[in-house]
Amino acid sequence: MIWLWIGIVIIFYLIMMSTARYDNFQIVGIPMEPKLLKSKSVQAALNQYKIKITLFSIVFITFILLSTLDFLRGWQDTLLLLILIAMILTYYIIFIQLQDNLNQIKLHYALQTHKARSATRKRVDLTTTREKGKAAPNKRWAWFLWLGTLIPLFFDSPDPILRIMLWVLPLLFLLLPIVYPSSIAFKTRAITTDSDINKAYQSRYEWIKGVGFLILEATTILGYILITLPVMLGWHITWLFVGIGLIFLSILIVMAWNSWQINHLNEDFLGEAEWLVNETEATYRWGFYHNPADSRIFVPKLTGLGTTVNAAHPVGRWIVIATMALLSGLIIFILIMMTSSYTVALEPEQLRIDSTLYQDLVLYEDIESVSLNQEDLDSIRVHGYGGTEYSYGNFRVEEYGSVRLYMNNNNPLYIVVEMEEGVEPPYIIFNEDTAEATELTYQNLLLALNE
Amino acid sequence: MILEINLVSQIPLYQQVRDQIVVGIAQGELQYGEKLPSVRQLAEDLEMNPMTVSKAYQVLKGEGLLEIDRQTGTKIVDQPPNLSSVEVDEFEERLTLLLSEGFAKTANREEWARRIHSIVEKKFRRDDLS
Repeated sequence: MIWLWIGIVIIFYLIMMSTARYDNFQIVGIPMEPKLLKSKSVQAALNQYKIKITLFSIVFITFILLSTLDFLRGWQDTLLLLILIAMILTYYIIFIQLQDNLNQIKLHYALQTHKARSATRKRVDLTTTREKGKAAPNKRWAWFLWLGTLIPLFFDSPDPILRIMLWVLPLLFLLLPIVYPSSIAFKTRAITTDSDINKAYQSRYEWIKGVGFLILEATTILGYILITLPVMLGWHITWLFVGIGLIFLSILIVMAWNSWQINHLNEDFLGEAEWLVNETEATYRWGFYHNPADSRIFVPKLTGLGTTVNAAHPVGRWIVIATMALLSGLIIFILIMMTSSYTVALEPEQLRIDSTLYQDLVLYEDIESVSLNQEDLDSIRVHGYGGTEYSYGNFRVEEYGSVRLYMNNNNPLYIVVEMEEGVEPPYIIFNEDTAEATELTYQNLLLALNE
Repeated sequence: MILEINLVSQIPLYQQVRDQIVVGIAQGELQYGEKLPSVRQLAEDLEMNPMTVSKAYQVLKGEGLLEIDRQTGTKIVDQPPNLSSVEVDEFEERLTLLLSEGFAKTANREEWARRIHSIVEKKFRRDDLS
């Protein structure tokens, strides 16, 4: 679990570092001519950014390791979530600071060299613009890869919520082929007066970004399949970790491939560039692409692979607001999950277990058998909440199959309730906060069943 | 061909697009029968409203220089359109006005004749225009 969190920080670190790459004559989305990029002030701003990102990543990894200390164990889930939020906010602020710094340097440079005039002119190469979108792989590939999300539907699942999710998630994945064309719709670069050079640059750039997007899409969908199948088919939990590990590895490989390709492109073309790219194209507000002159909702990302939203477009603005609201809602939901636990009550006719998301009322007459156990459970969460302290929801357990679980993970002792045939769920596994309390509940449950 | 738009010019944006395409055709940077970017492609690259680009294309179509086809896209006409005698008269009238503006300020006939000759020789070198 802790390694997963450290992995997330490392992925974030690599993404932030690769963001500060000179990509398509832009850096962190700000157009910049090669000469200015090499200047001391720009290099100092970039170094400062990289040092800050590195230092904060070390700090966050240290905090994650500290959260495993015994006296913090009860708070670990909350701490990890807070560290994640703090990390995103910190990186976001550092990123905006870099954009501001570079814009200031550019303004200063323009005033010194009388280049402010270039901001009032736009150049396009008609021959290159005409070839736009032809060098990247065809959009049919994005649709073809999407078909992979339907593979889990061929396997039957006993869990009704999972069955619905298997239909809903491919619909969400539809966003990938839909945004693919906009992720390669870059503004063409008229970097020289020679159309052949402009065309060669544009087609190679488009190809890199198109192929990069498709590899990322394929990786994401493969990851979805690898995570879904062990849950559905009851494979051993190791397969789940293999799936997650493969996704991490593929993301790293795609990022490295993209950097390598862009570096080569820069080597081949930077020397050819005669003039600066159109100045007015990249405008940012609060770190979001914000360009009222751009009539598109979805625009290609100016840093890295994929698509982003134009926050100046009326529809784009609502997409940004809705995404922010959704993320905030998700964080609040996870916080509620973390701070809540579940209650077990033995009532005259039934066993009652209540949690925030689930409730089970089990009639004693429906119970086939109960047992007290403390062997390690190999389980995969199907849906529900799985933290370091508490886990509850529908899980697939190696020995029992599909079960409803209510567990305090720090207490190794648990009660297994096997239901009569035909009663759903077939097993309920639960415990109390301590081994003593669990044993007492077990004895009382036996008494209730004998009555 | 490089199209350069001046955002602070008094000349409307569509007019700048139209003018430069005309110059491109006349000077041989754009060939007869050559395809042009679609309205959407050009509007995206120039960060302009597609209506502005569309208007420029419509003007050029009205002048007989472009063919717009929904299926095959926009292209420059295969052959230069023939000028009617009325159109030739119109051009001559406009040219006379333009030259008069210069001549009124610097009445040097030889100087203007030399300049006109130089422009025609240097910039309009297409065989099909001779």
